[in-house]
Amino acid sequence: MTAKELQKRNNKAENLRVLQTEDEISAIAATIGAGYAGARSATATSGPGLALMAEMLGLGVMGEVPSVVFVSQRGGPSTGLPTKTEQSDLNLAVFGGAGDAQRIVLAPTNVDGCYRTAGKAFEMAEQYQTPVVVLLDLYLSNRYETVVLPDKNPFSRNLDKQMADGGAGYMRFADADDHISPRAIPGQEGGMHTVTGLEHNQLGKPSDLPENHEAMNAKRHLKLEAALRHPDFTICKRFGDEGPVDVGILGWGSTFGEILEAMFAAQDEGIRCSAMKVVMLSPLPKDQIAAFMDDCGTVLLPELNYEGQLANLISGALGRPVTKLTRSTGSPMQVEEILAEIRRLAQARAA
Amino acid sequence: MTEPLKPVYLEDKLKEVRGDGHLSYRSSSLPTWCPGCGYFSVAEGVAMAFNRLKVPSKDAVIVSGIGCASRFPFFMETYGFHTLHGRTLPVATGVKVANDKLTMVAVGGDGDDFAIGGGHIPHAARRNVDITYLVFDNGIYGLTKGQTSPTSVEGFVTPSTPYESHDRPLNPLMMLLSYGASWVGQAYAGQPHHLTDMIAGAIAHRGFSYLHILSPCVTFDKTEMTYANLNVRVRDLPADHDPTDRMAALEQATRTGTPALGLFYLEDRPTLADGMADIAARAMAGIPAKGKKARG
Repeated sequence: MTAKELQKRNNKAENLRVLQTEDEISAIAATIGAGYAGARSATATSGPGLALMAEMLGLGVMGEVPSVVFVSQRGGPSTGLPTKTEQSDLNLAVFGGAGDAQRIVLAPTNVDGCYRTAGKAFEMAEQYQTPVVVLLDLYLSNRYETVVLPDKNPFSRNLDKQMADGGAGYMRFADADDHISPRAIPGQEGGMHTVTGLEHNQLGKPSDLPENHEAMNAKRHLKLEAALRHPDFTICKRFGDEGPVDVGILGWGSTFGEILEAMFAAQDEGIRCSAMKVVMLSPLPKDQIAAFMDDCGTVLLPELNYEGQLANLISGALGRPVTKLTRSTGSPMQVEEILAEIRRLAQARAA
Repeated sequence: MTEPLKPVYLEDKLKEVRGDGHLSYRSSSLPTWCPGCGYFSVAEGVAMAFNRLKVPSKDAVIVSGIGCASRFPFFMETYGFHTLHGRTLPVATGVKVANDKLTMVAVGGDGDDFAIGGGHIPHAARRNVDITYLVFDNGIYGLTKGQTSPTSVEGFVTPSTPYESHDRPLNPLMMLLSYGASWVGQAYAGQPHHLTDMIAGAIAHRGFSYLHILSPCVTFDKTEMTYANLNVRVRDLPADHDPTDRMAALEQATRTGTPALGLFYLEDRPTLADGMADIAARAMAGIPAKGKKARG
């Protein structure tokens, strides 16, 4: 959708503002500036744009400022294949930037999921005071599907934990039980503070004391664990046969459509199998994925990149092997390719 | 613009400084700047300008990048955002898009703003975002111990240019006048009263105001942009300078050997927020686009 189409469609909302910036760095900077000032704000880009935004995402993490970035992946690296699809920006989305900068990364698998994930991304950015990256890919971004939208906007607003009135003894980065600090927005009496990309203490003043850096790193990471329990949001979901299966398939993004189709076909052939979509890629739902893998004789992970980025992420996080099925042809995965691999794994297990 | 020379008694001065209320804009954090740094004048000038214009602390936002100058927000009792190297203006733009009622002061040094951040300046200026943009120009990278900067003199010998710098200095005033800034002025840290007046004028202007502040780095530049040199070189703009005459302003800006102090250029035109609000109102009312269609 062009900026003009977006503006025409959405300016029906009186307070919506659309800004075409000079570059991606400016786009994410203005998004974070608007988030700091209390607006719900988002920007959209592709892999190379996300690479430019990586430093600013780190500022969003360090300064605990809400923002949402929609990334429609294409073929890479560099300018790559600008008009072809790929799922190769997962590493960048999850890890990109300097330092220990964990953020929330979500990847819907179909158009209905895009709608729900977009709304939830704004909720999460606000509630956990962090950048949220929503990973799409060209094949998903350019797709049409018929979906039923709810009559009423199902998403919550004002999830921001706010500074108490008057701000007596206010500390912007006070570490609470849930590690989320009350936020003051410019214009609020008594909440004056400076947000900085420097490591800072609970007041927001620069501090490089050893124990402070350790504690603040912990705060910024631990607060995100609650996102795994975010209300009314599916962080991962299992389909197909229940209980122990011969072949389990993990998937993410648009490829999950082909995975489901291949799984149904394999079931028709008598292979016991099930599939799990992983929608939240950071923080990773390790417990659910591990429980799924416990049930699977062997685990396959088809994805559209050369290295097997989610397979590497999961096997690294859980210390368990995953069979990769990677394609970097610029085209969507073929159902037949996945089905052939499921058959091969099932036969190998039987033998 | 010579400062009046009349005796100042410490007791009277302290009473005046404590009494007028501008100190309430200064935070409890002591500045990290070196004694004698021109930035103290700017900090004092901003506090005094806020006080003069009765800007509530809660409605003032100071956004900065990285460098000595960009430490500024920590020293002020306002909202602040110490962002990334060079990214001051886009962050400030986002803040203003979200809430145009805030009084926005964006600050940075010559390295932060004209080297890594140079690409953002034309766009903030041409959009006429309602930002007061103060550039503290000391012609050197002070925080990293004295390397040559985009406004350093040609032939400058520094740790990063041990023989000499081959690069020609930028002319920020000419740049900003060309970019479409709607308020362009120059002040000098060695003339704090005039500096305060200029800061107040820049903040009072609705639109993108650019104030170039000549401010010596007393630690790393002992030969070029020193108080001794600037005291001799600076001059007032001609009494008959017309700030609505952009060519006259450009002509004055070319005279870098004798920098002129004062208001170079002033233009009244709608801000980014004005334009956005207008589009939103027309979209809500279902009024079609009135602009020039790219496809006819």
